[in-house]
Formats: sequence, structure tokens, C-alpha cells
Amino acid sequence: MPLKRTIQAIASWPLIDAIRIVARKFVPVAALAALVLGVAHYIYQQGKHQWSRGVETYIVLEQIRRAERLPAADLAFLGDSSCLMGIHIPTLLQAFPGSDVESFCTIGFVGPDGYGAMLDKMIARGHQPRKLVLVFNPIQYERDPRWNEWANFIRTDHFEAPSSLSFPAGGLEYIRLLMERAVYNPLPGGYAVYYGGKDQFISTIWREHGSAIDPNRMLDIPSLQAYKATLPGHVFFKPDPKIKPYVMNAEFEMALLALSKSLSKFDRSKVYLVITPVNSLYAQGGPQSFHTEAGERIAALLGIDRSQFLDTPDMMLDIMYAHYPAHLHRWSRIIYTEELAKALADRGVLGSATDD
Amino acid sequence: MSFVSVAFLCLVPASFLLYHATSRLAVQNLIILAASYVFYGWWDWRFLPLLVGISIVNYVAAILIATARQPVRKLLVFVAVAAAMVVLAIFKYFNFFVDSFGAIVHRAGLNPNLPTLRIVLPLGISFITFQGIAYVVDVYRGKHAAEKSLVKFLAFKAFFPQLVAGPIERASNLLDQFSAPRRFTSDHADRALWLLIYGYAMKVVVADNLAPIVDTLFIPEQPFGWSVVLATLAFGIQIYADFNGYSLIAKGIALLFGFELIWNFRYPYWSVSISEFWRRWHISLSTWLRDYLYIPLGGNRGGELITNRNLLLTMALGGLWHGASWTFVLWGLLHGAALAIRRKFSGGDEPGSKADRAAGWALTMLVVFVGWFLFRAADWNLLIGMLSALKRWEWAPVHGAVVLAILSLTCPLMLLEWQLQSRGDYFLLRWPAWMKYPLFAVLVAVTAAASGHVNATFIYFQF
Repeated sequence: MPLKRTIQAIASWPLIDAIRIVARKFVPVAALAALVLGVAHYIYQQGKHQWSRGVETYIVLEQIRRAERLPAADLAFLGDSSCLMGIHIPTLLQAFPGSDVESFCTIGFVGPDGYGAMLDKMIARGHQPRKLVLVFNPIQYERDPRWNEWANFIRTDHFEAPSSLSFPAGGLEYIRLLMERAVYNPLPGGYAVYYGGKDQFISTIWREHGSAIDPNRMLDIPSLQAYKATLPGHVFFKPDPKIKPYVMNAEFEMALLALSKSLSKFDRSKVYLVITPVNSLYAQGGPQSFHTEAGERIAALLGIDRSQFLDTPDMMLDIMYAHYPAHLHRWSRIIYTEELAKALADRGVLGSATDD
Repeated sequence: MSFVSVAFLCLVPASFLLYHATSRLAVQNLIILAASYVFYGWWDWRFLPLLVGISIVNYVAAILIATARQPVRKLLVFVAVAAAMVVLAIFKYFNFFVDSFGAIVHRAGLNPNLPTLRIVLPLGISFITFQGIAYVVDVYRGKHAAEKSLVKFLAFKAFFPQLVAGPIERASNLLDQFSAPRRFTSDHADRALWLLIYGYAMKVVVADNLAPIVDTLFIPEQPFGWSVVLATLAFGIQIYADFNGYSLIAKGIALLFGFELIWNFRYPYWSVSISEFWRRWHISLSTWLRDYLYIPLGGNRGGELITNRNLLLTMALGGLWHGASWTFVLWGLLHGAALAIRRKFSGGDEPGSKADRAAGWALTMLVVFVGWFLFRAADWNLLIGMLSALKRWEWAPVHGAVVLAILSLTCPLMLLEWQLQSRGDYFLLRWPAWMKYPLFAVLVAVTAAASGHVNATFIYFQF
């Protein structure tokens, strides 16, 4: 009897009643939510999702995907971000109607070895372009061995280890990634202002045949004409004495030799070389050293004839550059690409370039 | 302590267990008071004495007002209101007024060395002082008796679900609940469950996902006119989801302790006139401004000119209440002017025909969202930078992304609000368990997923 009374007393305690009420309402929802997360976690694990965070990773992953999916082009570009942001493929397509031109340029971290890896993949799939332009910016000449991970990433398709999130983090991540398809997570800095999120950045790369815009400058200028009107009066700045001259290091040369191996599977007579221009502020040592001589040295290391080194501007005005010293902005890249189109036409790389 | 913090998710169950372990009202009130002070002190314990001090001044003032005779009563209410305004002026507006004065004399060619204070704005100071003013004025007007129990009064002033961002609860609703026995029933739990799920989803999924988008677009160097328009739209949805989310969570948490808080929002973006908007948006503030500012100024009793002056003054001060910036004043003036214009041309009638309602809705939203632009562009540099972007109408990739984000977040919300309005605030609770629980579970999972992604504080905490 005392036990029964005790049980009755406990059962009538307001706390027990409150807990019972809450449990009856809240526990089924919590249990079902756990089930939803469990299902999401399972799907997430099956997907073998790789972390891809940051603009650099998006670029490389997407260009690999493009290289895998697109048919063989008449002319393809492989190179660093000065090519990605500085060579505007739609301008070339306009200059060479009927030609199929694609850019697979990525970032400088990938380096010559990585471009070789991209080419190997194209060759292995039978998608190799008929002609190839290799693009380097002098800022790449001093290569850091730690960047070789990027080349390995292309070779192995694994930049970072596949994510191994445990429950419920995997489920939460899967739902979050689904949500990100509709509600974007802003990219850093100016990239958020122009592109918004990752998907828009990627779709721009596809739409522009592998080119992209460095959005850190001149977004407020609405047209090429309006931009050209701002150019008169601008002069080349003298090189900043604090800037180091561009000198090729052994690491860069080794990477070129790795690329040369890949080129051996390709007709070297159809490989061309472009050294993209530098901001005159950064042109320490003079264009002869980082453009002409360096171009000839690169050609030699790659085993291509020096005549295949295309003559394009070596320096450009500061006002033509976006935030990064090697990236042209959205209007100056068109001006530069028009120069490049002339060089391609002069050498007969592609036919029917307009003179203007 | 924020509603979206781990500490809060520990405080609520702990205080729930302690609170329901007893049925003695006095002890329950003490537990509420202790939990509220922990909640407030968690942010910065040094401001606890300020909260206690303001509460005690209100408590003592109300008792004195209740027992005194005229003209002492009038003097006392004046002193109590002035004391609250002084606190607000020091903590919130001192530097604003000094800077504004400095700008004026600078234009006059002088360059005085004016003092500014490095003051941390206490959390929820505007809500705390406005609630106190309402209480002493209600006691003065004889609308509410002065509370004798200090614990009850302190608990009313500090009641943690509504402490830092309202609703600005009146004594007639909230204080009286501290005197009557409170029951916690299955109905309370049901409603609390829905309000918490709905409120957290509004805050975490809608508001916090829009916050980084709005932050990246509201920049002085903004190059695109479309970004200004879309960022303003996104901010209008963000601030609604943020503040309404907070209010729903507050209401839900209060229900767990047997308290009923008022609805602070009633689907404001469905309003077909600006006056209807203010009957639906931040209801506790708009009614406060009406009862303690607009009507004492003369309301609509002094002819058109005086009425319009009162509307402009009330809304401008309402704007300034939100923050120490002239853009908030502009926001208030815009709403005041819109209210005055509407009063003149409609005579106070709501639009009747469908076409009138559609036009009324479009006009109302135009005013409201232009207002949000001023509200978000909280300094001149940002305001001018954003306005100058309106010269350039280029459609960039970001714009498609913002449109998609806005549609993805607002379409489900609009559908839900449409149903809530036509079927009742708790219609989902009448659904069978096999339908409502899976829906709730999905909402919980989505909210949990979004919560790890962004970490935004409640916008209205700063006010």
C-alpha cells in the first residue's frame, strides 16, 4: 500500500505530468526527424561526396568535367587563371566563325604538370583538340612544390579525401547541399557581387566556353565602348622596385618537363605558346626577360619550335587589371583577346580572323 | 543569450523542469525571474544591474503614482518617463546626437572637439524602457493597478522569452498572468511545438539563409541596379522572417510555462493599405506608438494639419527607436507620410474591389520595401553608394541566383501564410498524426541542417 501511494504521489506530481505532455508531443517529431536525417545520411554516404570548397576548387573540378564531356575542339587552351580570366573565348569564336574553340584553363597552382594531366585525360578519352595553346603568366615562374597536390588532384580525381562525416553530420550536410541548389551560399568578395554562388560561377564558365570574369574591378562600367572611353590619358606605371623580378625556378622547370612528356603523345607542331601580359607595375626586370626570353626557354623545355611562341602584348596598363596582378578585367580581356586573335590569324592557327 | 544558441537550448529544459517541479505560484515566479536573469546576464552580466535598476524605478514609480494625488501624480509620471528616456538617450543616442551636432557646426566652419562615449548598447534596451513607460503611464491613467509584489514585477519586466526583442507586452496581459495560477496542458504543448518549429524555421532557414546574401549585396560599391532592388526584396523577407521567427519562438517558449504572449505579427505582407500594414507589423510597437505617443500628441483630434504632424512625428520617433541613425528617421518619415497620404485620399476605408485591393497591395509593398531599403542602408555612405547603382541596369549571374533564392524561400512561406489565414493559426495541429508529424520532422531536419551553415544574430536584438 505505501508503494502504491508513493507511485500515485509521483504520478500526480506536476513535473511528471508536464514531462508526459511534452514527451507525447515532442518525442514523435524528434524520432521522425532522426529518421529523416538517417535517410539523408545514407544517401550522402552512397554519393561519395568530395569536399569542394572555394573558388579554386570549383574552377579545377569544373574544367576537368568540361574536358571529360566536351567533344574534341579545333583549338583548346590550357593554362593558368590569367588565361581563364584573360582570354575571352566568345571573342575568338566571333573572330573565327565556324571554329570550335574551348578553354580548359584553370589556376596557376595546377601548373604545367597539371595541364599535362588534363591533356592526358583528353587524349585517353579520344577528345584531344586538333590544336593546343599553352598559356602561362610570369607570376607562375616561381613555383612552390606544395602546389603539386593540385596536379595530383587532376590525375587522381581526388583533391581531398572523400568526406567521412558521421551521423547526423552527414545527413545535415546532405540536406544543406540540397538547399544550396536553390538558396546560394555567397562566394567570397567580388565573386558574390557578380556571380552570387557556386552554381552561377560554374554555369558562367560553361556559357563562356571555359572563360570567366574576375569580378574585382570594372563591374560598374556597362560596356566595352564605355570602358575604352576611359582609357585615354592612362600611361604605363614604372615597375615597383619592391617587386621581385620573375625568374623561373627549378620546380617550374620540372613541371614543364612533366608537361613535355604529355605533349609527346600530341603533335607538337600543333602546340602554341602564349605568355600573358603583366601589369606594368609588376614588370620588374623588363619584358625582354619575363616575356621573350622566358617564352623561348619554355618553348625549348617543352620541345616546341620558338616560332610557335605567339606574339601578344607583354605588358598592359594598370587600369586593365582586376584585383589580382595577372587577371585582366572583363573589358580588357576582350581587348587582349582581340590582339590574340590577330596573332592566331597571322600564324594561321585559325582561319578568317577579322582585322578589327 | 540568443534563441539560436546551445546555452538557450539548455536553459529552456532546465527551467522547464524546475518550474513544473512545483505548483506554488510564488516559487514558479522566482524560477522565471532567475532564468530570465541568467538569460540576460549570459550576454553581459554587467548590464544586469541596469535591468534591475530600470525595473525597480518603474516598480517604485508606479506605487508612488498610484498613492499620490494630482499634481504630484503628474510630476511622478513625468519623472518616471523622463528617467526611462534618459537611460535610452545615454545608451542609445548620446553619440548620435553629439555626432549630428558636430556635423552641423562643422558645416558652419567650426571644428569643435566634442566628446563621444564608448558605450556598449545594452541588449533590448528599447524594448525594456518602452515596456516600463507603458506600465507607469497605464498606472497613471488608472488602466492598471500598481503591482505590489516585487518578484512578480521583476519577473514581468525580465520574462526571458520577450525580454530582448519583445513583444512589448503590456501589464494588462503579461503582468496579470504572474498572479493567476498557470496551467500547462496538452493544448499548450501542441501549440508550443508548432510555434517553435515554425519560428525556428522562419529564423534559421529563411532569415539566416538570406542574411549573407543581403550582406554581400548591400555594399557602398554595389555596381548593379538590379542588385539594389533584389537585395531590398531579400532584406524585406529576411527582417520579417527574423523578427516574426523570434516572436513565434518567444510565444512558443512562453506557452511551455503556461504564459500567453500576444501575436506580434499578423501576416503583414498581405496588407492592402499602409495602415493595415501597421496593424499587422510589430503590433506591440505600433500600438505602443499609438497609445503613448500619437494619442497624447493629439491624435486625429486637431484637424488635418495637426493629424499629419502627429503621424509624421510619431513615425519619425518610431524610426529613431529602431536605431541611432538618420536613415531610420527617414524610414519613419516615409511611413508617416504614406499614412498621411492614405488618410487624405481614402478617408480610412480599406480597398473594397479586387482591383482596388491589388493596387492597394502593390502600393503598400512599394512603400514598405522602399522603407526597408532606407532601414537597411543604415549610413549615408551605403545609402548613396546603393542609390548611385540605380543608374546601371545590367543583369548579372548573381541576379538569377537571388531571384531563385527569394522564390524558393518565399513561395512555401506564402502558401503556408495563406492557409494559416484562411484555416486558422493552428490548423496543422488538427491534421492526423501521420500527416503532421512527418511534416514537422522534415521542418526540424531542414532547420537543423541550415543551423550549422550560418550564424546570424536576431536583427531586432540591436534595438
